Amino acid sequence: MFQILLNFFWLIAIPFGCGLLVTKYMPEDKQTAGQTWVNGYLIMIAFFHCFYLAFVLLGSTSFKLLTLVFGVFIVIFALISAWVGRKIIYICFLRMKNKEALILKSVFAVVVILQIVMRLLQQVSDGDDAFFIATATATWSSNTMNLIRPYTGFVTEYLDVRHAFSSAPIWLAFLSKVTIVHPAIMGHSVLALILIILHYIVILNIGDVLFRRKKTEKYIFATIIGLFNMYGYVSIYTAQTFFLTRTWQGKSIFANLLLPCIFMVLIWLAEKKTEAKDEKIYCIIAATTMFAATAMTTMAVFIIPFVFMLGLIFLAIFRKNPRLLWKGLLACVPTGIVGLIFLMA
Amino acid sequence: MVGANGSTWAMLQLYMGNGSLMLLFVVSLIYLWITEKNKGIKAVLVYVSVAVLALFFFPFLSYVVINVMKEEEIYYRLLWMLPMSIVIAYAAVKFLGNIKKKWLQGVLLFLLAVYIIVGGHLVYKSPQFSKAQNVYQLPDAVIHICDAIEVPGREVMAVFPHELVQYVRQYSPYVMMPYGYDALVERWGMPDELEIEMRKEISDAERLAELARERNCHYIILNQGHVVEGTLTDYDFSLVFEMDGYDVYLDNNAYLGLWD
Repeated sequence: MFQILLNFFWLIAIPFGCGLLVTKYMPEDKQTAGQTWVNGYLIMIAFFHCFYLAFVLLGSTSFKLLTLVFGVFIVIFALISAWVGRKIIYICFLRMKNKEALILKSVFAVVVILQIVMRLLQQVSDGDDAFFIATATATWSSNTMNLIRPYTGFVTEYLDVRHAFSSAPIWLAFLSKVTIVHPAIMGHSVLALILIILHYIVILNIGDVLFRRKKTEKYIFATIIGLFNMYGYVSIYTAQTFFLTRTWQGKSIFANLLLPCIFMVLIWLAEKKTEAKDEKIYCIIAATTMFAATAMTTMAVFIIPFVFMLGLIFLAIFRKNPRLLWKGLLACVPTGIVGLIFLMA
Repeated sequence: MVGANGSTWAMLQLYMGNGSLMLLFVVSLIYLWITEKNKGIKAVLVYVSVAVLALFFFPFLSYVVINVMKEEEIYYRLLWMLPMSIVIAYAAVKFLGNIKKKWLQGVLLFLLAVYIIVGGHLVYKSPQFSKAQNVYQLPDAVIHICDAIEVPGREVMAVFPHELVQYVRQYSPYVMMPYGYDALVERWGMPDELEIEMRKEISDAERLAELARERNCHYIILNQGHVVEGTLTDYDFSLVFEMDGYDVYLDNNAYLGLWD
């Protein structure tokens, strides 16, 4: 029972609390429980990566200290954020009471539930887990970071810069530590389940804008994407393959949650009714997404700001809105700083 | 991306498999290019996609990433920037919205689903998937063997058969190995003598024992189906456990106590 409460607290309540601060400043039609939860995870991952990078750059290898410092910080942040955004909590959940398109909603729910059930009942043999999960397990048990070679368990003589700058396995170790769940279980089952749900929340948000909140079209759109995800295994390289076989790994989170988040933001910015103040909060979400992406894989430093700025350039031209470019460039600054640190290391 | 030989077109072909879903994506792009009235949505979904594809084939970029940075393995990930599923689903629903007859909408939607199912490939049929044996989603054998050989308060060293190597450290941080998954991946070029001996069709027990001792291994774990010339018990190893199709041998000279 205590473990269930811990999991609820760290995986649902804390991200939701963190997300309220951002959701409060979003347009009313986007103040939903789902988006709040997505915002919260983006903030959690981004802040964790910040703290982790600080520890790495200061030469600290203490995972115990990182867990304590970040844990205290994020709880305080979530409480403050929840207090600031307390008035919209009810509104966020109110939007879930929509009974339109019940049949299509149910079909979509079946597709998602099927993917979740398959994730829980099937195991995947993937060599990258010999690094990813093993790093998390070594970190979680030894309370040190980047000191143990994940493949063998020997102490490492040097810092593997390329992998050390990705905090994804360490974040998994953090979640495992605070929820008292073994990293293999956390990654393969718990986190994977959450990531599948977060992916489809983003898809539904995109559908909301594309179909101007017509529920029927939105759920057909989301169901087609669900089917595409299941049948997208045309090679081992597609994002869809990664989504359902390696859901918990940094590369998959990048391709199936964070890149879609960027497209979600770009589509929000493409809306005709988007005002200047909305652009600011959207760019903040984009900045958080891009920074969170650098935690997942080092290639995100280059790819994700590129996609974002490419989208903004086209938007600036075709929507005749050049100020988007400056806001976009500012949003890329945190990611750029990480890129510089990586290049200098 | 093994086999692409630096050719971006070959890379794309490897990525898109039979090409049916990529074809659907291209058709959807063209449809949106012609029919989408919202310039912003068109910019984000169509122009970004076209720009990404153009970038993927841009010779200078492919040269830098593949030949200079030697990152051929990850160049295909540029294609993740294509919002394929979003474009296809949006174009499909938009198209269906223009059909007046509900029954025809249903039929076309059904045909689209069939196209995706037939043209794609169900991910759960991938050989990577198997029924989860436990909550860790790791082989039972790894869990049982690690639990049996772990010593509270210290680490132990064990050499595992290839099929188990990638799982050991995912489960147990207290069982070390003389070589890990990185030694098994040929293209990473990190051969290991002990690993080579374990990999042989017929391993030599004396050589195995000698190499394992050199690497300070307390345990040798062998698949019961693995052929070994000689027996490890002749070289001062004892068979201590038999579980889940594996034999676990302990070096009789191994110290498994704690150090003060």
